[in-house]
Amino acid sequence: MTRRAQGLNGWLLQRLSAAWLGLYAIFFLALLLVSPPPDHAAWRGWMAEPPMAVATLVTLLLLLVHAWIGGRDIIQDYLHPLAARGVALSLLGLALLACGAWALLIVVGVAT
Amino acid sequence: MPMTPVARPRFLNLLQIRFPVPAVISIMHRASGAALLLSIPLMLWLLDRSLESESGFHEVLSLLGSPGGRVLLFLLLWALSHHLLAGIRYLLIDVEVGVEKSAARRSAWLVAFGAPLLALLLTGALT
Repeated sequence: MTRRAQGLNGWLLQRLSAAWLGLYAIFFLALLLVSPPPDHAAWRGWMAEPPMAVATLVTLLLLLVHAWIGGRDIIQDYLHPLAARGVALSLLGLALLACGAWALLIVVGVAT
Repeated sequence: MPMTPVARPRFLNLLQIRFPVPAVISIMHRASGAALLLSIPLMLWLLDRSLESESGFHEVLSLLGSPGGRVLLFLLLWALSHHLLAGIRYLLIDVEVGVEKSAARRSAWLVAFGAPLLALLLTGALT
């Protein structure tokens, strides 16, 4: 896992994911401000729309990629003993994978 | 042949070092990123709960509307605003916009004060 998204690839991936995440964040906040869902049915219906569900799924996936690169950089900057670093990176990776599975269940559960 | 290290002066007293604003918002970019990372499980829980059922939806709304919830929401929106605004600033600097020292300082001040202001407005408008 530590071989992935390193060096220039990681640098580029962090910026590309940032661009998408930034656009989604602005869009999502604007939507909440302009027409907040009045009730549960409206909120669910909103998230069940295929374009919204797909965009949200892509966002959650890219969020985890973005969080992995950023979290890994922080761990590598401050945690130097190799064993501790390995454990921390593994825990971060596992936690993010678990979050990814959870996010998949949430969005797919609403859209189907 | 190994190079002999040059003895460079070291001054690492963090309480006495004066950071320029761009350095401060850079540290805050990292701190806000870490905070946002740690908040991912909470965000997913709120999303899950709010979509799950009518009662879950109202539970999330009343949670976010409570005094403690509003403080937490403000802090997370501050982290998000800072990370987003500083991130846009870094992307612009990547394409060589605002690299000059005076421009970089101006945009750093803008991020430093724009982020909490934006977070305050968003918290007010959303709850």
